[in-house]
Amino acid sequence: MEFAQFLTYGIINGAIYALVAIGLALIMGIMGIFNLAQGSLAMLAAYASFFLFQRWGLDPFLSLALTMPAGFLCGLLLHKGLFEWMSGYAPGQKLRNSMLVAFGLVLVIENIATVLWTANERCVTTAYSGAVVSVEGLRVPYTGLAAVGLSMVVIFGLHFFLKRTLFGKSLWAISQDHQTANLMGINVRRTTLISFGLGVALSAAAGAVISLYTVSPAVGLDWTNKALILVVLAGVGSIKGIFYSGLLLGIVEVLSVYFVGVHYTGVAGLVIFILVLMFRPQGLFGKRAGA
Amino acid sequence: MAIESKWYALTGAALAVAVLLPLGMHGQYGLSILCMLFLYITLSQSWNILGGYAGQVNVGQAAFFGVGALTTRLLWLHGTPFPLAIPAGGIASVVLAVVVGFPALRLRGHYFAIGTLAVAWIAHITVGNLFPGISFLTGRHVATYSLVLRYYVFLVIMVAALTTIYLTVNSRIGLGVEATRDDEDAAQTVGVNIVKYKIIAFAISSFFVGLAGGGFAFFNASYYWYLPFGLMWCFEPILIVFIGGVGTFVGPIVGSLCYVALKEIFAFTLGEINILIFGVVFILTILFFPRGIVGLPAALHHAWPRRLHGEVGERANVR
Repeated sequence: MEFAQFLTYGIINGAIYALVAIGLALIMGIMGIFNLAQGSLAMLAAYASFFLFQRWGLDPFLSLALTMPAGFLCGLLLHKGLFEWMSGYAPGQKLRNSMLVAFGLVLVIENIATVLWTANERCVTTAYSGAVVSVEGLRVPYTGLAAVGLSMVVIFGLHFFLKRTLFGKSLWAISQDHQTANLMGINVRRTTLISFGLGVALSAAAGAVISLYTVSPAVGLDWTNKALILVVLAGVGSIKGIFYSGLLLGIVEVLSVYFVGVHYTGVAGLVIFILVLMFRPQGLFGKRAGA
Repeated sequence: MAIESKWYALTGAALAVAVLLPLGMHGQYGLSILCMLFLYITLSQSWNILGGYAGQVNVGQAAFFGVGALTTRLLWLHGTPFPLAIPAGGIASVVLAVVVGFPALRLRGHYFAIGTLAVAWIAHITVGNLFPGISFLTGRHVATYSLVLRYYVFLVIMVAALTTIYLTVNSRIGLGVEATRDDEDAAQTVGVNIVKYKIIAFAISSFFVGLAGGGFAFFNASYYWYLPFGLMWCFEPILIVFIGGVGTFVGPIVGSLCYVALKEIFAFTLGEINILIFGVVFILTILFFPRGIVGLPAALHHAWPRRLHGEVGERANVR
């Protein structure tokens, strides 16, 4: 029974990892921009939902209606100001330079957050924070259930949005060959701009869930780290794969806690990561070869 | 030829000044700044041979630096003399490169960058879990601590790294390494063993990064065990190489001089927000001066309006 309880927490953690990773998967996997600041942007959104809760008692899941559009606008500005400069670069160079610029952005965001809100850890404590629902002896926290639900809605929603709508299809076309896409009459600039905004808005969704656990200026990079592992596990360009990889990582991590000990959680992640990189560099769910 | 002998004379003079300097300097501050300068030159030049010359962007340098520091520190604190403990750090770093890095070299382009970054990240977290807390020196070590000795250790490591890398990039191996960077497929077609050259560049790079890590462990009296694994050690050398000029031998040296000077000035004058300004400098450098200071004369040579129009095509060729 204890084992099943561990497994439940693994699934919840995994779904949260996936929710954080989905913005990075869109921005890096499809647009080729290595936005290391993704976790830091999620951290900002988490602070936003923390303060909205503290001042006006707004529930973090309701404040999504405010933080997601704000994240979208923020993404538009970032892309206009920084990443659009690299739109003409060759893929490898774009990835490298955007990573470096994003790292500068991480330093800026983290520093501002520390100066404004100190390095203390905070979290949102709602009325239902500690509440659990018991299913045949299994204790499942309501917040965890909500996080898994939000994660599934966001990821599968994005998957269908990209596969079924004209906008999504034009984004795939741009990711394959942006010059040809341009010749086919796709507005490359507008589509990439909006997608970047969307990617940041998705991180803002993750911020709401993060605010229920721990927020501090330093958590940004930790979340980017988890997101990065998931993007490689799933395969660059895979959207649905992010959810399954998140579950895999979450479950492997809790199993390593269960069988080995809490100090080796990071090592378990490292082992799967290196195995996948060595034997399946295209990722577990990716189809394209690693070129 | 005349230009070359001038460079040799300049190098010799700089080296003589560096060797004699501690005799005439009394302040601790100046010497420790110079130690940091030598450390950054070693790190950035080591990044440059793999990232600039061979085109393999290693974003995981902190893992190699950290493993070198960890090995040296553990051996040294358990009684190994430092002239053995520091090279052991370099060797440990090469071992890490063999275990993690060489398989990763099979990955092309950005997968290599992502893979190495994630390795550094996970190493940081793992070491933080396994070695929580601070590493202190024993009383015996503190009693015999000498900054001048540390200065010479960093100087020797830097000179060794610069000499090895200079000789390598100006040899037949250097040609192979650059051919690998410029076009892997073309190089392979004409019979260049690209895997061999990548491995040579990676081995040299990780060895000297490990040595530098050993120097760091020998230099600092007390630090958090995970500190040398911190992500700044991944990005600082890359920024320095970008400031100076990627894929040029003088770039990392010029870049380190500017970087150490800027960092000190910022830390003194700006206080708490110095990292913010630092981040902004980082962003502006990458966006507007991708060729660094070494490329500045050529960049200024182009008329300003022409640069604005031709920049997309021009930048695509920048390494």
